[in-house]
Amino acid sequence: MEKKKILVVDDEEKSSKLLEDYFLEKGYEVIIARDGQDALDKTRDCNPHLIIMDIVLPRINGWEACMQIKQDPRYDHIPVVMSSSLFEEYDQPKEYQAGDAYINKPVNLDHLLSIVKKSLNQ
Amino acid sequence: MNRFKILVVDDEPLNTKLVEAHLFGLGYDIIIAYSGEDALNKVSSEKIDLILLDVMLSGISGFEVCRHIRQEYHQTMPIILLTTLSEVQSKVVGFECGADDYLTKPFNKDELLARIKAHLRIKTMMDEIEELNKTLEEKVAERTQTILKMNQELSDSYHLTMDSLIGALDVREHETSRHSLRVAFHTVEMAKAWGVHGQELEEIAMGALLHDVGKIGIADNILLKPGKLTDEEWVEMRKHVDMGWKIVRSIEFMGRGRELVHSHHERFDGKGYPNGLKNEEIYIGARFFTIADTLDAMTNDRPYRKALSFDVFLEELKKCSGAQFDPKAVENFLSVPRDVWFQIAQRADFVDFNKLITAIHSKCI
Repeated sequence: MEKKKILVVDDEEKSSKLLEDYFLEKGYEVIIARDGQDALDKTRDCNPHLIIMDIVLPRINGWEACMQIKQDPRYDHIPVVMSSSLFEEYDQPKEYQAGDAYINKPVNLDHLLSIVKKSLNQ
Repeated sequence: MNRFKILVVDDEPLNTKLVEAHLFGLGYDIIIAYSGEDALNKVSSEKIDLILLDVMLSGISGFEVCRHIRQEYHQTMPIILLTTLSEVQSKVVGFECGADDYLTKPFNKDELLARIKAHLRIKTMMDEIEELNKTLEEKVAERTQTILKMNQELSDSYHLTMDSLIGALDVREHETSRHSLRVAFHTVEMAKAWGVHGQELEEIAMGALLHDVGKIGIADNILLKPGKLTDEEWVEMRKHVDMGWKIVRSIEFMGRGRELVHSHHERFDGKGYPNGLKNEEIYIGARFFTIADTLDAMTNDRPYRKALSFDVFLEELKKCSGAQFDPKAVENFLSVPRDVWFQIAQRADFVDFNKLITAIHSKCI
């Protein structure tokens, strides 16, 4: 079976490394992006199956990057899991809801895995 | 009622937008600051009701901002810290810096709104208390002014009463008021050296000043007689102490000064008049007064002799200690440097009773 590709977008290396190690171990392929622009570029170049995106990011923030992905017919099918560091996962203001799912930061990895699996119909 | 103004401080623009989005439509005015410096500027220039303050700011930290606000601007404005540092220690630091509350990111929207509401309610009550306090302070200050003014008027009228009585006597017997002032100053100085202060000192001053007020009731042919008085005339003359007592006894504010008026011719050995009181039976103010009266009589010119020297008076004082004078009062007199007595004698010629009273209260003569 083909390995699923996950794009992890986080400007903090510590956070992205944690996710990378975890998902590699669970049998996924992991790509890292450092900011919103980088995320858009890597979405285009690598065609990931799922994106885990931090909200607060340099250059283009996670919310804007997610909006751009969702407005692009080529990528709008890719599930985006937003990790929230300000409000709790269910408390995103309506007008700022862009992702398909939300998780709290710091991330509960098992909880995230279940969301990822569900999003990928695994 | 005015809308509450909330200052949101976070260096991440998206975060301020998220907070703003949740607070929108709830009746709050939102102001944004993207740095600690910016936040302090806004606190100093605008009337802000509550601050949501991110701790991790680039530049000066949220803790510092908090401390500055408490030290320089507002003691009561609610400050809620927003922190990712969930360790107990950083919460403690936050409270020590003057924060009222904190939320750990990521936080629940409803909890944020509930805390904002609670703190604004407390703030409103604090403002009301402050307002009431201000009104109360103004009222107290107003009343105090009124009382001070009334007190001054009352005190003025006391002194006018004194002036009138002393003036009445002066009309009959010239030079009396000068003499009265000098002995009043001397008596007060002795009382001060003894440790008397405040109200009683003033009473002694009034008593000394009015000691001879009873002479108003002595017939002219006796009071103003140029030569020596006969025994019968002396009997009449001595009545001035009882007459003086009758005049001053109902003047409440003279206090113990009235006893001085009544007893200023008593002697320590009991051979004085009108009641032959002795030792401690005589009011201490009166015991001082007899020394002052003798000092003034001896060191000023009289129709029948020139002024005597201070040293002659000192000899008389020591000689009569235990007889006319209370030995303790004599000792007390001698404890005051002689220069002081000279200065008082000179000054008394240029001031009035009001100045004496003022001097008593300012504790320097």
